Order: sequence, then C-alpha cells, then structure tokens
Amino acid sequence: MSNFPILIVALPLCFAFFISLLSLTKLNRFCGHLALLSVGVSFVLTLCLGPRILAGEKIAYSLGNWPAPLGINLLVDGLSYLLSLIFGLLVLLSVIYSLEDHKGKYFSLVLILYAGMNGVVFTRDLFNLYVFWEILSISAYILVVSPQPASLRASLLYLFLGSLATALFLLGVGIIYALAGTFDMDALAREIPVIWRTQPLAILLVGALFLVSLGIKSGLFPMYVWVPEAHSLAPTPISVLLSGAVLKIGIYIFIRLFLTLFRTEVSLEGLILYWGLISMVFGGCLALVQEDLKRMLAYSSINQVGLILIGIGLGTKLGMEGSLYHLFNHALIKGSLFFSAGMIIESTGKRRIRELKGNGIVPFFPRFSFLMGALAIIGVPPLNGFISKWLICRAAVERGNLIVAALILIFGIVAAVYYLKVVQNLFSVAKMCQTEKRQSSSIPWIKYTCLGTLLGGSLVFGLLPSQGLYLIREAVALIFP
Amino acid sequence: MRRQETKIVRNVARKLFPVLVLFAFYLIIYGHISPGGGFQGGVVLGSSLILLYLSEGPERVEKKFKNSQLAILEAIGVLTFVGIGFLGIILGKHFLGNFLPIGRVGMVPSAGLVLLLNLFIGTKVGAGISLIFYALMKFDRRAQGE
Amino acid sequence: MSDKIALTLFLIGLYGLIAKKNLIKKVMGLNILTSGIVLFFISLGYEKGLTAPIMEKGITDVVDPLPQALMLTTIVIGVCITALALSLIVRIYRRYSSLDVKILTGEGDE
Repeated sequence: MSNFPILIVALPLCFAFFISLLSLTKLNRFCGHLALLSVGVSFVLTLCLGPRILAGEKIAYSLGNWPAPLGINLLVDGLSYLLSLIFGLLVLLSVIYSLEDHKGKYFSLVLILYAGMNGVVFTRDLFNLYVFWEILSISAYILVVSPQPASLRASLLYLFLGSLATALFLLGVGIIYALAGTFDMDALAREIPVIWRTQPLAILLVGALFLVSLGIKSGLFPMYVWVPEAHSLAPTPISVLLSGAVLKIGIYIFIRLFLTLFRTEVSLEGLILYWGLISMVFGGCLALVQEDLKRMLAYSSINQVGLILIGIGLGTKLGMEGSLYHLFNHALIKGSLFFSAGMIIESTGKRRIRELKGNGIVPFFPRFSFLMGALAIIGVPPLNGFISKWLICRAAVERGNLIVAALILIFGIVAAVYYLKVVQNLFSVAKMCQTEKRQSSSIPWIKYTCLGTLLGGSLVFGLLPSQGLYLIREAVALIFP
Repeated sequence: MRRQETKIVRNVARKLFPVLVLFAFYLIIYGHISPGGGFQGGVVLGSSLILLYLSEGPERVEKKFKNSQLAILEAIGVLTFVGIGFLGIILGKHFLGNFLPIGRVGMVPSAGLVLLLNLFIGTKVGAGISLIFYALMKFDRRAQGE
Repeated sequence: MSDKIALTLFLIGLYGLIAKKNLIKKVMGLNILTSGIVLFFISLGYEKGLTAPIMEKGITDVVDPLPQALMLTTIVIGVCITALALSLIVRIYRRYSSLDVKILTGEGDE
C-alpha cells in the first residue's frame, strides 16, 4: 500500500516502453490490450487508495528513501486524488475507444501521457512538476497528429504555445529557487511569506509568469488560440483527453500553487474572477458562430473552464466546491460529448453542423448521448451539470455578486442555443429520413460502452450529488480547512 | 542523387569513430566521480554514429546499425532503468532505493546504483539520438527521391 | 552580469518565437529562449573560485550542484521538443510547400 503512489506513476511508464518494444515484433496487435491492462491496473491502484484518502489521510512517498528537502516526494491528498481519478477514468475509456483504430506507438504515447498526468498531480517538488508537465505535453503534441494533414499544423501551433508556457513556468521556478533555495513545496509554503516581506516585487513577477503560463495551458481568453485547433483536429479519444484532462492540469497547478502554497497578502480573487468571466463570455460567443462540430465543442470547453475559474475566483468555500465539482462533471460530460461527436463524424463523414441535417445514417445512440451531454452541460436538472452550476451561482449570490450570477445564467442559455442547434439538426433528420435506406452501423459495441459509462456517470452524479460532493470534500478541506 | 564525401573526410571520420565511442564510455562510466554522466556520454555516442552516417553515407551505416536494433536498444535501456527501480521496491527499499554496496569515494565501482543507471541511460540516449537523426534524414532522402 | 546575458537571450528568443515569420526561425527562437533560462539557472549555482561538487579529500568549497543537474533535464527536454518541432515542420513543408507562419492559422487548407 505504501508503494502505491509511485506504482501508479511508474507502471504506465514501464509498460509504455514495453509496448514500443512489442510494436517492433509480430505481436503488434496486442499493444492495445497491454495498454488497457496497465491503465486498468493503475486505475485500480488509484481506487484502492480511495478509502484512506477520503477519510482525510494523506499518503506520502519519497523516492529512493531520501527525505523531504533532498529528495523528490510524492503526496496523494484529496485534490490530487480527485484529479487522478478523473485522469484514470478518461484514459481508460480512451484506450478502450481506440483499441480497434490505433496500434503500436500510439498506445505507448497515451501511457506516457497518463504517467505524466499522475506525476504532475502527485509530486511535491516544483521542478519535478515541470518535468512531468513537459512529459505529458510532449506526448500530447504528438498525439494531436491524426491522418488529417491539417492536424500537423495544429500540433505545431500547440507545440509553440505549449513550450512557451512551460518555459515561462520554468523561469518562474528559477526565480523562486534564487529567492528560497529549495524546490520542495512544503518548505516553500513556509519560506514564501518570509520572502514576501522583503522582496514583494520578485514574488509578484513569479506570480505573473505562472499565471501567463497556466493561462496558455488551460486555454484562457487571450491565449486560447491552440485550443480549437488541437481539439478539433485530434483523433476523437485524444480530444476527450485534451478537453477533459489536459486543460484541467492548468487549473490544478493554479489551485495547488496559488491557493495552497503561496497564500500571500495579495488577493488574486478579483483577477481570477474577471479572467474567468471574460473567458466564459468569449468562449460562449465564439462557440455560437462555429460551423465545425468539434470546434464548437472546443470553444464550449473554453467557456466551461472560464466557469470553473469564476467559482475559484469567488473565494468562498461554496464557490470552490462548485468549481471542483464542475471540473469533475465537465470531464464526464465533455468526454461523452466528444465521444458522440466522434461517432457521428465517423458514421457520416461530415464535420459541419449544417451538413448533419439530412443524414439518416447516424445511429440512434450517439444522437441520444449527444442530446444528454448537451442537456447536462447546459445545466438541466436531473443531470450533473446542473448541480455544479447551481453551486457556483449560489456562491455568487451569497457573495452579493449578482451580475456574475446573471452572466452565468445567461451563458447557460447561450450554451443551450449552440448545443440545441446541433441537436435539432441531428434529430430533424430521423423523422424525415426514416424511409431512406439505413446503412448498418459499423461502430463496434465496445465504443458504446465508453459512452454509456460516461453518460451513466453524469446521471448518477446528477441524481446523487452527495456522492460527488463526498469525493471532493477532502479537496475543498485542503483549501478551506 | 547522393553526394560522395572526399577521401579525407571519410578517413578522418573512420579514425575518429572508435575514439569517440571510447570517450563516450569514459563519460558514462566516470559519470558519478567526475563531470559527465549518462546523458552526456549518450549524446557523444549518438553523435559518433551521426559522424559515421555523414561520412560513409546512409546505406552502409544503416546496414550495420539497423533502425529496429536501435529502437530495441532504446526500449531496453528504459525498461532496465525502471526495472532497477522496481527491484528497489522488491528488495524492501523504496523505488530506486539503493541496494548495492556504496563502496569507497572516488573509485569507479562506487556510489551504489548510480553507475548502473548511468550505463542504461547512456545506451538509451545514444540509441535515441541516432534514431532521431535517422528519422530526420529519412525525410530528406524521401524528398530527394521524389 | 550573467543574469543580464540570460535575460537578453531570453528576450531575443521571445522575439524570435513571436515575431519571425519562418517556422524554422521560430524553432531557433524557442531554443535561444531555453538557453537563456539554462544560463539563468547555471548562474544561480555558480560562484567564482569554487570547484565541482565531488566530495574527495581536501575539497571543501563546492558550487551548488542542483541547478546544473536540473538544467541537464531541461536541455534533454529542449532536444526532444526541437526534434519533434523539426520533424513536424518537415512534414508540413512537404504538405504545403511553404514555411510561412500563415500555415499555422489555417490558410491554405482545402
């Protein structure tokens, strides 16, 4: 049990290179199954940690048995456990989804991505965090490349912006090292308030560098350029991972660094609140005018990330609860939306929303799940999106910030407009074209199970919100003890 | 169309190659007691192969050092590294915990695991650098062939 | 002094990454930016008159080895990113027959 944190990170890494070895031999076709096995084992290990973490325990691990300021330490607490759970679920479903379409090196990259994501959320060392972040980013850059030639330029654009972001982050880490002489987060939490008294400007500079870098990585308003390109041109399972997991890494690092580590006297809440608002407004408005289905979903992600930031920026316990719950819910909902969009595009071969009209060959289940996902993300009551939006709205009202609450509601309606446009196109078809000859759907059943799991999840966490709030309770307790 | 390098270049490269490989292994093996280490040695190892590639031409080098062999070498390097890490767990220590005798300071067989890990990093990096170079050169050759 | 050189390199790299129109030059800008950061880190650990941190007999004053060890990692990551960016650019060039930055914004598709 005590070795679990490192096993969760190292097992996928080990299997990744084993798979790249295997892909050279004749056993090439088993790569996917092996990847599934390793992600499954890792996910089960994460689940095994669950009871202890949710009881309020923190599990620490030091590599090579070197104690805290010298060695690299891993720590699983409520926040990292929540994120690790999301990553495990999404990677598992993505691997299942891509079993038939991809082979060999693809799976080894997905496993490296998974190892990097878990590493980022578990590590307690600032430089180590940078290294894991780079590992996951590099594999994400490569995974964006799909058979479509345009995905090459999307990958390059993502690479330029992503490396700029990590370089800025590294510069910030360097300045912190110059000031404090350590990378260990526990030591930094003690050192930073002391340094703040003597050199506030340097700390502000570090904060600004981190904010810009995290803004690029989680696709906030002025730096979102890569999001629609990469999300819309990547293969479907990778779109799910990018939107559900990779964007969340930026938010995780923000919460970890600014809310549990540097609790300086400067309050960032106003900045975060307005940044989130602008992001939400622009994401929503731009999603309205998109013609490409997956591109619209990408802009909707920008909108939702803005909403998560608003909850954080309100600075109350309720707002944080809403944000973290929305982070979790958004991963489930966007996963199911991207999976169903992928299936729709796969079965019709058309990406434009307008062209979806008049196609009788979309199978029923993707259409239905797209409708459910759309309802969930708009915030219709029995589904999980409603609960988290409700929490954030209530937090805004309690804070007396009625304009924010009104804007959240208005952009719920805007989301309804752009999602229901697609739904209308999808369903008007069914009645008109029933006489048309239906092609037998070529989508294997295993892909439906991924979609079904995510939909079931959003229904369960919508009907039983106490279960979801139980999951995030420890994470919130970390920030608002 | 392929350029033929002059005799001088080819002879010098051929004489330089073993020296570079020796230097690479020196850097790797003395990595824990003097400046150097697995990555640096590995890069020298990789660049020695690149030198040979540039002077002798792709066909001869790729026949001797096959793409697939290098890929296997690279994967084995990492796998052994992680395997040694897991061995630490099995032997009752932590991940990558040292289970070898530490030895005397300044001797080559000292510092426990570091020498072993450096060796595997060296092979991995050497193979990796050459593979990157092969991949980029393949683009070039395909473009010329068109 | 080395701080200022590091800052200058960083800014030159940033300029190259943002303002240059050629994709290869952008990659070069990225490399210069990374080397600026590497120099910054190395200058944190360096002090004149100190030796390499290998604890043999008679050696007492050593430099801080941590930034140097960490920068090795950064250099490795830089190599990976450069290799990946260059191979992407090669494939982009073969598809679009141009290295202009306009490709990135989607002009020339379809």
